[in-house]
Amino acid sequence: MSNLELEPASFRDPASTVAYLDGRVLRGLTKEGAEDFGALSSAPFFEAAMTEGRLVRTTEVPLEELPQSVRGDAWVQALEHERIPFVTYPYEWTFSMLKDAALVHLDLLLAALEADLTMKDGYAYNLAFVGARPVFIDVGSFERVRPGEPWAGYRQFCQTMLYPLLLQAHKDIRFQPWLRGQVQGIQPQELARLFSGTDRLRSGVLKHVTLHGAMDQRFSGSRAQDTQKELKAAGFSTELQKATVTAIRKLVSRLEWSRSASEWKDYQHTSTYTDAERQLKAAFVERALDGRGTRLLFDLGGNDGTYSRVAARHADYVVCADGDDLCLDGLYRALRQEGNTQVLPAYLDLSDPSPGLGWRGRERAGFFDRARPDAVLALALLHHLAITGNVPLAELVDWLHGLGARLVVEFVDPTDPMADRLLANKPAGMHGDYRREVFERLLEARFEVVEREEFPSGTRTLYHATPRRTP
Amino acid sequence: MLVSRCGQEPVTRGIVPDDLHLTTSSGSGAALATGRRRFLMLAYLDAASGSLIVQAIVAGAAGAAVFFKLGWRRITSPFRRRTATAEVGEQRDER
Repeated sequence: MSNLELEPASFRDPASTVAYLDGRVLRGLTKEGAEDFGALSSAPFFEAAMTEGRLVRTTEVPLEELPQSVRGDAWVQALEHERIPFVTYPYEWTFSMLKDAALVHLDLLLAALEADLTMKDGYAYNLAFVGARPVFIDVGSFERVRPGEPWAGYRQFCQTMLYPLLLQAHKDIRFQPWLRGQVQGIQPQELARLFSGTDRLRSGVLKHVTLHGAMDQRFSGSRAQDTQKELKAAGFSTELQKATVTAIRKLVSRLEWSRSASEWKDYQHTSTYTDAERQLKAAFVERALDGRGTRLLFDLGGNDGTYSRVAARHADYVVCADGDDLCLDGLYRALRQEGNTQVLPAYLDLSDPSPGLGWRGRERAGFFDRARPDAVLALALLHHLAITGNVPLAELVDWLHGLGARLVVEFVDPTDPMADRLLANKPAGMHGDYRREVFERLLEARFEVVEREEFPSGTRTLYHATPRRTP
Repeated sequence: MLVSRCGQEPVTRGIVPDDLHLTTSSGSGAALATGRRRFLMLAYLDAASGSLIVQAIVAGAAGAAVFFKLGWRRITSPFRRRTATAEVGEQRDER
């Protein structure tokens, strides 16, 4: 019996539907979707973009190979896509990730326009990351160009990519909570109210935000089809669409988040570990993972990715999740430079992880609902969640157990300088149960402890544990 | 979009796939036959007029010319009432 699931986010575009069949990623095309794909697959850039890894690897599947129950009556063509090891969403990307993703989106659109194709949308969710490589995954976005029309996806591109970038580049405001707040992104008129006075002189603001917001308000009653006819009559052309996209690309390529550009260098030197402690920890992680055949590993609170890199020697794919976007942005830049496709930086506040979002809360799955890891690292993490986040230790151990994976966890004693610093912000006695013996008792109730090692300082202990089956 | 499979019960489980295909393919076949397919496809994204017009400005000098021409056509449209009405009427037919 084949196991078919339609992708919960694939319903907006009627011409193209994504479904999973026994782990394969399939895309069914209607007649018109197939005609667009025909034009795309014969375009010169198609094969090149797949080879470069900018476009998801796509092959045609003979329709008769699929069970009738899968293809239904509407599919006239089926495609198969390479599987993305772990999908993160734009609100889990850092500034540089969103910027690089936007550039890939625009570059593919420019290449498409040269081949008389365009894109029907401009959505940040059209992209995913394989390690530090952005990949355009929505092959169904491409369609044949209609002469005289502007880019239909411009508004969506502004809302989900350009505006978040402008917000962080010009105002140093994190975009992630805004994207997490609305899957359709930031409205032109909303952002226009945020950029006032001299903000309007910053690059891109006057046209894409202020004017766009004003036009949006002024023409809110106009029918888009009438406007399109008028634009065509006034001389709008495909060449102008190219000029628009080229101008946006130039703008995006110049946007920088000033803090990421300047502070990352110092950042790597602020940690309190000694080299000996680092080596001990790395060796412990290696021993725990060696020869276990780990496919997916979560490095929770992965910070600058030091142990993600260690883990990547023993795991197929590593997701380095952390709530410090400056740190992660630096990691991403480094990984991108190395061409790393094995370690994926993910911006995530572990005390408030991404929930299910969009239609019925299922269009974008919650972070921990997307895939089950085989192994989890939680190094120098629990004291932050327990002390700063006030999460009870029992809750934390229960959560780790629920991940159902091999665990490497570090307990930082209250006497450790780092934990002491956090405890100093709290009333005395508030975290009285934050003690190693309490943690060990909870851990042993839920996990089988395979190995335990104490740091020479005596204030930190590492555990390698496997989850016990719940009765 | 591709998503590594999540642990939660997928939204589509238990629904006959044919029913789903039916809902996603409504109208396209008929539209194709009459050659009006392109208009229907626009319905996928809500193309707001303001977002279309502003692109002329973004496109630079040549685009600005289109923008002002568009403005001029709008200003002078009362004097071309007959044509404008005809255009709208034409569209209604197409729907």
